[in-house]
Amino acid sequence: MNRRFWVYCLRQASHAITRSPWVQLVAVTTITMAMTVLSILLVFNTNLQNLTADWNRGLGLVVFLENGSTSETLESVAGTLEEWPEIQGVESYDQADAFDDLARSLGDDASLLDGLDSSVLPSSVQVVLMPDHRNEDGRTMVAQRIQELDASFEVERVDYGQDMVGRTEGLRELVNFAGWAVGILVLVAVIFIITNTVRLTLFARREEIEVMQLVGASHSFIRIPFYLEGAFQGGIGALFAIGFSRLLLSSIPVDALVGDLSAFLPEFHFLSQTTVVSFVCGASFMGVVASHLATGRFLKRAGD
Amino acid sequence: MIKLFHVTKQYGRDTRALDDVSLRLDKGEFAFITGHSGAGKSTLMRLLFAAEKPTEGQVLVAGHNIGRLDARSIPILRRNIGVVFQDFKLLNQRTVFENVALRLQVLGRSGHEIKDRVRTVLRQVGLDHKSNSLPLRMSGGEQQRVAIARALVNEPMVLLADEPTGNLDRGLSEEIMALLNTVNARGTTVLVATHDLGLTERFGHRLITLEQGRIKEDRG
Repeated sequence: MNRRFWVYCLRQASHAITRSPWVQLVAVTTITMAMTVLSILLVFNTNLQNLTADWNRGLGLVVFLENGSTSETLESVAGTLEEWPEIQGVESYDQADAFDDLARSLGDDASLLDGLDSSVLPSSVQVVLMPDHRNEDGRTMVAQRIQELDASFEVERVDYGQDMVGRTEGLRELVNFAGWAVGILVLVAVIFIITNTVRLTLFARREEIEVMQLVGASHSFIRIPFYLEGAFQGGIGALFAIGFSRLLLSSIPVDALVGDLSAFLPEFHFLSQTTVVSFVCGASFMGVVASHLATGRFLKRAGD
Repeated sequence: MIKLFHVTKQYGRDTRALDDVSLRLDKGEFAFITGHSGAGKSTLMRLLFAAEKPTEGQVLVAGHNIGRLDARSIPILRRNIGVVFQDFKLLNQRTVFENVALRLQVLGRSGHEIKDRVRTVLRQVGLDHKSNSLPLRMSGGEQQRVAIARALVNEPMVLLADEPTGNLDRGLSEEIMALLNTVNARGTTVLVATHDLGLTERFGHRLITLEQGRIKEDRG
């Protein structure tokens, strides 16, 4: 396959595209719609993954001591933990500190605590892990080690955000599953659309293909222009979908929807350049697969 | 160049289009295949350019065994065979030049070579002044000459013509036959399927007559 062959194929593919602009427009529009759904889901999935990863990184551990533990026990626990290589630092809160903290966080409603004694809250040690342990596995491992400490340390429980992580993991898995399900549906839909568009083109050019077969054209000579046409439809559809979803997502009035909460939301990222390139290449590849299926059936029927 | 050994072609259980046909055409030979409609002429031609495979027997064309050709080898065989049909099979939206050039494009020839070869062959068939015309604006005889030019442009070893004069009047038919004679005189093996007995008599080449799928007569 030399340069002349590829020039011929490109010319044939561009003729096919310009000869039937309406068919191409309908195909590209439908592909764009399907791929937009997929790209939006991909954006949400990527951001959710980033969010859970951020949360994971930010979470530490809180070691609660039994009620009535002495300040010596608290210092002993903090001192022991501080020496562990997985731990970057510790901060201990006795019952009075915890009570003051709670009162501060209640602000104007601190009067609700009137009449209560500071002994209602347990002493605790807040643990900051080393950066390489700021993940679910690291936290779980350190929490287990703390729980296995001698009873003399009077550790009642260790809170390492397991409930929150479990919930976000569940949400992430759900979005992941939805992504796969929609992805497969979109894949089938795009292949179906391109297969049918190429079939229409094949039908319109059936006499030409018959003549080409009669004069000795190889299968690749006949097929490759259709592969290029399919790749074009898939690629252009994906590019439009990226642009369209970006426009759509940037037009969502986040501030108006969530108000002051927007300050707590992480920065929203669109797809990375690598993902965009993979997305477009993937869609083009789907176009080639669809064209291969369509031409394969057609040439088989045509008798070669 | 063409050899058939006990060739049978059967469609379904009952229809035998060809029945135990054996024949041989040497290099540079010219022969007519004749017979009534349904005698098996077109089936024989379709076997020769590998549009069909024999049910039984062997078909050898330019060294290729048709029964054993896989899908990839069929185009290679067809590059050595020129085929002309009654309905011309021209691409009506392409010019005469483009129609003839298609065969060379398939072979991957350079633009310069394509231009030279197409001009030469169009001159040979007397259509060099019509290279930019569209087929539908030409007479039947001219369209058939374009089809012959396309079949000959890469100088194939064999030229098969299935009812090449079927859509033409007597004058144009003789013109086409004279052109096929010229092609044969240059060394190409020519096999023409026709039901026009008058034509076969006027040109006096070898005549193979088919009847109900069998060779009834082979003379000349």
